[in-house]
Amino acid sequence: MRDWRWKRFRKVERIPQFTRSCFSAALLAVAVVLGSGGPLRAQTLPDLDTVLDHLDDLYRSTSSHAVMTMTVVRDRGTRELTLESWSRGTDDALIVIRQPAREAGTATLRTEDGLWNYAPRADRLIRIPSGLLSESWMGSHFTNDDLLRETSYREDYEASLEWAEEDGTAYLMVVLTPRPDAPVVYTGLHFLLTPDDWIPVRWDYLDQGEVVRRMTFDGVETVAGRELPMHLVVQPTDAPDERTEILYESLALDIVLDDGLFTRQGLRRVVR
Amino acid sequence: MNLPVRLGIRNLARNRWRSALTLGGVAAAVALMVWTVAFVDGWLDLMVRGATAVETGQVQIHTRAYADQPRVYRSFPVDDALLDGLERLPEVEAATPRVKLAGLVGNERTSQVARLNGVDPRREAAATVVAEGIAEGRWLGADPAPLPAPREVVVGRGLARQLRIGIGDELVVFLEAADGSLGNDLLEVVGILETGNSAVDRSAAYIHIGDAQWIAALDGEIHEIAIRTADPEGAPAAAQAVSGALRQLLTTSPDEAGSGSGTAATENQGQPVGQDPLVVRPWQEILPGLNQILSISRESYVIMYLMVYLVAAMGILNTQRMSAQERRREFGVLVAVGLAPRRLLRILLVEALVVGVLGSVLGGVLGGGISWWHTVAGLDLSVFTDQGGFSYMGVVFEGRIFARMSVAALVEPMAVMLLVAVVSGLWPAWVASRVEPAPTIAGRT
Repeated sequence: MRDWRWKRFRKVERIPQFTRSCFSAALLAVAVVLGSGGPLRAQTLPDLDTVLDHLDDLYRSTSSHAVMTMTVVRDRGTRELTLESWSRGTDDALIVIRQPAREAGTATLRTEDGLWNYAPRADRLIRIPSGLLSESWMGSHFTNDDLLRETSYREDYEASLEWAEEDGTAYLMVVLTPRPDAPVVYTGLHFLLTPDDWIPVRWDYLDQGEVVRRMTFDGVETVAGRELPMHLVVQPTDAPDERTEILYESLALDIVLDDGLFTRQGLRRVVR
Repeated sequence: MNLPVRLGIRNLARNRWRSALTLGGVAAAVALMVWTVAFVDGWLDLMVRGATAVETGQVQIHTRAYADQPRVYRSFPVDDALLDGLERLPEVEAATPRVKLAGLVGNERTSQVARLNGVDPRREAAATVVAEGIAEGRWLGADPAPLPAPREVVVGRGLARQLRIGIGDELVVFLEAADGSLGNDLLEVVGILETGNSAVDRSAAYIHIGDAQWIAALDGEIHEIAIRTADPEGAPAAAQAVSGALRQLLTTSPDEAGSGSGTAATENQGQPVGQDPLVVRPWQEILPGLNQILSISRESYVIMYLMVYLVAAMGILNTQRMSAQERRREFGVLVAVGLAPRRLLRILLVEALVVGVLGSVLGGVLGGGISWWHTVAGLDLSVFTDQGGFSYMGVVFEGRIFARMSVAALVEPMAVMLLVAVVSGLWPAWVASRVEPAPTIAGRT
């Protein structure tokens, strides 16, 4: 009986001892994180140009082919489009509407020489003046520039990097200010990326210091060795009931594309 | 004829030069005023006409939401019965339905955001002067070639220049339709417009209403009915009449649809109207800027008229006073021999009155004649500019400007100048009638 009580007593004694050591270990760990974390992060701000190149290449790499569903939600109804897109380098891009039938074959082509919409009924291209770069792409909340990337984050913007924290999570923030001659309507862009892999999380488009448009990213998957969100939502701040979503059904990067694809003839071949 | 009248007329006849000058002054002022008023009225008319006759019309019908903020989906159904019903109103000369679209128009080389008006060629030409503005080619055909021929388009001169296109060239149109989808079509330029209305010439294109409804996914629906009234000034009254008639036409047409064939299409037609009421507005409401400019112009011209009257009055006052001063001694003698000052005053007033009446009539005839000539034959504007025309408030003025004469514009200056002549004769007459005979005759004043 005594023995038992003693044993029990010892046991009781040992538990606080274990707890205490765990606690000290945790404290130590916290101290290490707190002590070194801040300065460590500041020291390791990544190279700006590398980040900008990463952003410019996002979703397109050296070449890309994607199928996506676009859902446009407006106060008057919802419209769903199936899109197929190709891109090569930073100059060539092609997006074709596959569904619904009334709009099937409508396409947008971008080459070094400019930007065109393809009117399937007329079977003609119509040039989109650079003044319409920030205008809605085919009635969605995405702009021509969002989808066809005429401007370059590296060339058309003054950029800087900083650390940002939101809801206790650390993010890398890219602050972009358009250069005076850039065909951009926003006064600033704030891109929130994950700190290590630079996966887009939330991009804010500002006008006179106020967020007028917000793009959010989720559904991260690994494509050709890089992690990319497969689901994008664009929301204008002044119309909270409206939004446009893009869901990537498939995305292939760094593939071999037909040389003549980004020409009038190539476009005609794929829209049919 | 009594003494003052006889003496007054005799006095006028005695110094013909002086009388002729005074009379000429009155006549010139009246003539100038009559002509100025006629010219300004003609000018303002031309501005209203230039701004409304080409595109706006004098009265327009829209859905309330469209009038608030034009959107491609804010349309309403229309049929020939409604349009014919409106045209039966005495205030309405013609009514034209329109599909109004905004979209990208161009080709592979260049493009431009333009306003695309889908119109019924016959009704549009009756309700507006746009078809008269064809500078090259022709207006939209009454029955265009069937598909797959390219659809006809008439473009403004400025738009054609920017797109570097001419007659026979292709044009692609690309726009967002009423259901949010994308409409596109191939057009062929059949005509180039130079209407003198810069809003139309720079950015408008006209296509067949059916083609426009197809591109914009607006089956049988339109955005606007533009109405031509006989008198631009009477537009607000005409708008009221149209509004009343519209209510009647819209309430009777669903009944007809119910008792008649009652197809799905006709049943559908009454509905959106009930949901979104139509508003009828005169051009004064649609173009408040123009209306304001017009009233400011009228007010500023009133100031100009006052100045003309003032200058003329000074001239007449001067001559009347000179003539009274000149005849001081004579007046002294008349008073000395027993002429009552009251009668002397009356003599001088008769002089002023005769000069005023004769001058006014002469001026009225002269000014009225010139104005009438300019009303009929117009005034060649190349007098003012070596470029053959000029633009003001988005309206191009070229060729001839036609004055507008009215009875009021003729009678008013005559009456005013008559009054001015009498009033400016009053003071010298009053001074003269109070002469002291002895010192005046002796020349010791």
